[in-house]
Amino acid sequence: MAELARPTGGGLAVYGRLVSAGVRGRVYRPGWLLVRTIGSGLIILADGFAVALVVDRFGTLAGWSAPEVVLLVALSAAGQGLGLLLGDRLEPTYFSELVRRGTFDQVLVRPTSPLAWLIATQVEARYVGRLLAGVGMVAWAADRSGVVWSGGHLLVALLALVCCATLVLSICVLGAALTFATVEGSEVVNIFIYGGVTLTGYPVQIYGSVLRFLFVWVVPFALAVYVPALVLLGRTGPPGLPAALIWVSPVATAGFTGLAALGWRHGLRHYVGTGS
Amino acid sequence: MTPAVPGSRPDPDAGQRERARPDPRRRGAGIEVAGLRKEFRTRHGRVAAVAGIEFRVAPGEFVGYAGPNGAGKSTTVKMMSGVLVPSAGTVVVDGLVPWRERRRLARRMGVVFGQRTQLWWDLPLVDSLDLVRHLYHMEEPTWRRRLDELASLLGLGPLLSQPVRALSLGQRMRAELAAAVLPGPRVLFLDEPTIGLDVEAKAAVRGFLRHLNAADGTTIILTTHDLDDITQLCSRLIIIDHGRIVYDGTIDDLHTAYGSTRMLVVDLADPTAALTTGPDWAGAQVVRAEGHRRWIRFARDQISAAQLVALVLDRHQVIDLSIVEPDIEDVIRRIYRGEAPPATDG
Amino acid sequence: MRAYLALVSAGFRRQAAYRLALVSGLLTNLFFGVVRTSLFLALYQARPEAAVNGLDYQDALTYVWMIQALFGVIWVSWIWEFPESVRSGDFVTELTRPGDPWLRQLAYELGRTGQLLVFRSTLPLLGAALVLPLALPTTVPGALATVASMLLAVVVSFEVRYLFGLAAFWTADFRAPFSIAFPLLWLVGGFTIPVDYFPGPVRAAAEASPLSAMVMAPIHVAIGWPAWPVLAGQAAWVVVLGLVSRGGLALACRRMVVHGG
Repeated sequence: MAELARPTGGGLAVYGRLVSAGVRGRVYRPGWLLVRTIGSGLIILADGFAVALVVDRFGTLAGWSAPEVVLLVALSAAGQGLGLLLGDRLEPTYFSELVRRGTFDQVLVRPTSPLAWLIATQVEARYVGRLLAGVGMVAWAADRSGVVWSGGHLLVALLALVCCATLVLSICVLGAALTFATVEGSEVVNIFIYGGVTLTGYPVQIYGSVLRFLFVWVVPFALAVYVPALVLLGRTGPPGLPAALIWVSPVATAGFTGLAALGWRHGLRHYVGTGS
Repeated sequence: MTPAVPGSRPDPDAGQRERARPDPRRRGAGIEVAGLRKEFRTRHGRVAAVAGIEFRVAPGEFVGYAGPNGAGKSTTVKMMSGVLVPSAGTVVVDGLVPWRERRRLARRMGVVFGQRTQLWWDLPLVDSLDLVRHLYHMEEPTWRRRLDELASLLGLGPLLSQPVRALSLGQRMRAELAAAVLPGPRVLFLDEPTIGLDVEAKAAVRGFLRHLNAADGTTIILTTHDLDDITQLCSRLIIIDHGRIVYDGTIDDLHTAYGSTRMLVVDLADPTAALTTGPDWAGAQVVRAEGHRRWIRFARDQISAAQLVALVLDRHQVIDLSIVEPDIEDVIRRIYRGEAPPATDG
Repeated sequence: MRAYLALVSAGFRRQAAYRLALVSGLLTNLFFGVVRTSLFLALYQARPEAAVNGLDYQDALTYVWMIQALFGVIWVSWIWEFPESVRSGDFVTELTRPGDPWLRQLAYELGRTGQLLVFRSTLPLLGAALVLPLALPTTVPGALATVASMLLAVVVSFEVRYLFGLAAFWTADFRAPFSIAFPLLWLVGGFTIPVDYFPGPVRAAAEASPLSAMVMAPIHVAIGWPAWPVLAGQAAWVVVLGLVSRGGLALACRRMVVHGG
């Protein structure tokens, strides 16, 4: 009998099918999914509302008006939504359970990249709510702050969204990689996924130098969100973080993603070497 | 091709025929393991889960892999499937080093875990099988032909449209097997596939595996605690304990070599009757007496069950009796206790 | 009575076992505390002496760190344990034991949250107090009132969570009501910004609701509001929600018996 499984070819289409299968599997209870999706979006709206209210009461936050701050909150929330859509299940609590139960071993005997498999089969559809709410808030905030939606600006907004999402996903991957070494210790990545995004929602100049350095150059959320926002709002930005850095944003994001990929490769090798 | 659906009585002689030397022209994968070691670092220092094992599996062999819990079975299988990297030694499966060429090997390998599922829980079975098609890049006509073949062999027809979560354990195991062999793997690793199944489901699974090995020549490594799995299916048994191979050969040779004993359990009409064995009982011994019941241990190569039963019935009035076959666990325990290694060709 | 005390101590010990979780919890608290402190410092920067909606900037900073202290004990990580045990059927054994299942759960919960309060909540709070000009009570009665208010808040939060958990008796999708309600609880409770900043009618509604007893009450007591009215209000909610949640449990049990579990 000839070889039934062809040795090569196919590539990305397979992952598309895995995503579709994963989502379909959960949609058999559509009411529940819809509720959680709406809830996910409502949280973002509540946060945005609260921030707008507070900044409005005070008039300004470090020179930024309420809608301008909401723009920051919205961009980071939308990016987080997209990132968590793909990476939520890589979080230490879920991933460690996967490894503990031996399900990860099953993933390893598949003819696919284990990371791509994990992401594709565990898409968390409910975060679409967060993404959509964020995008909606971007539209509102942009309108209120007089942002002109030129082609260039649209690209910049998209860049912010994609970079932020990529950062969040990369942190999730790092968290999973860390889980191979220490389960409870890897929880620290949640601080960056949630704390980092919250931090990015406010203009970066309000923070002390340590935090600023950390989130501009180490985990470059500020480059991913704040700098594009500067461009959108036509602001020049504080010294040390000018709007011109927009060209650095994708580079920094890619750099961080590369680090995350290396971390995963290292963690996987460690797992396969020691059986954890 | 003989269908292996539930209900068909397994032919006891079929196993015998299949145990003949496998045909080298068949498509199964060969496995070579040499000097294999795997050490883990634990709280108690370095522990060797696998402490130097060596064996060769010819293409198309059906090997049973047994041993007590913690003996190193799953560690070995993980090293053979590329999930773990050995500390020392070599593994070659189908000409590939598993942990180095994991994805290439994955295309030619099937793995079934008894307790876990590789299917998509909430989707109809056929969707899972379709995903397998895409994962392994099978051509549509090839896939369809193979699916029809497997569906009829495993009786999956009415199950294809049902979500996997709605299947019973027996049905699910048949589905898992179908998914695992659909891409035509050259080697199949099975981890306790009959655990928790009822008698009929077990027969179905065994029938299918027997067919797979006989007709397709797929090399099969079956890790199991179930003696019947091994006696009915495997041409060869490897026993591992404490990370080392303690036996590698056929079942009969195992029992013969270790002088496995069987137990005749009789319920006497008179509980006070003394059942004594004499010199003509060929070494049979009464090992336990409780109320009506007597347990008589005897060796298969010294006296047959029929002869022993005749001796007992001759002397006593018996209400009921049964024969307890030796357990592989029993032999393993004895092997571990340092009993002499089996004599060559007993 | 001794059984309940034993449960409290068991709960305490159980939480104490999660060492690394404590560390990451502390780090999380610290991080969010710093971020939001920066926010309020920047907001008040223009007019540091001003009181916005009755809160001056010391009050605002106190709010930030007290919210961090309260967050982990109000929205506890084990929030789904109770409804999960109902769904899986494990809860039935609780009902067959002598004593009061509601009280037992409260006792165990107090033990667990007690551990969190002592280790995860107060450390960052006190640390912040050393560095920042917080408006924490400086007198013993003030401190006692704050602690009492925090404990009452914990009990109210237990009762609110219990009510959401009871949904498990009626539906397998017990997370749904909470999922929809949570954004509202989050906002109106005052987790993102103090309730004090809300416009008049919204603020009044929020303060009249049990959410206030759960979140803002201890903060208000800490920053110096007259303690007795606040504590009395919290106690009232403890009683009301206690009756409602216990009533809910009784109703659920009767339904179980009628429908055969």
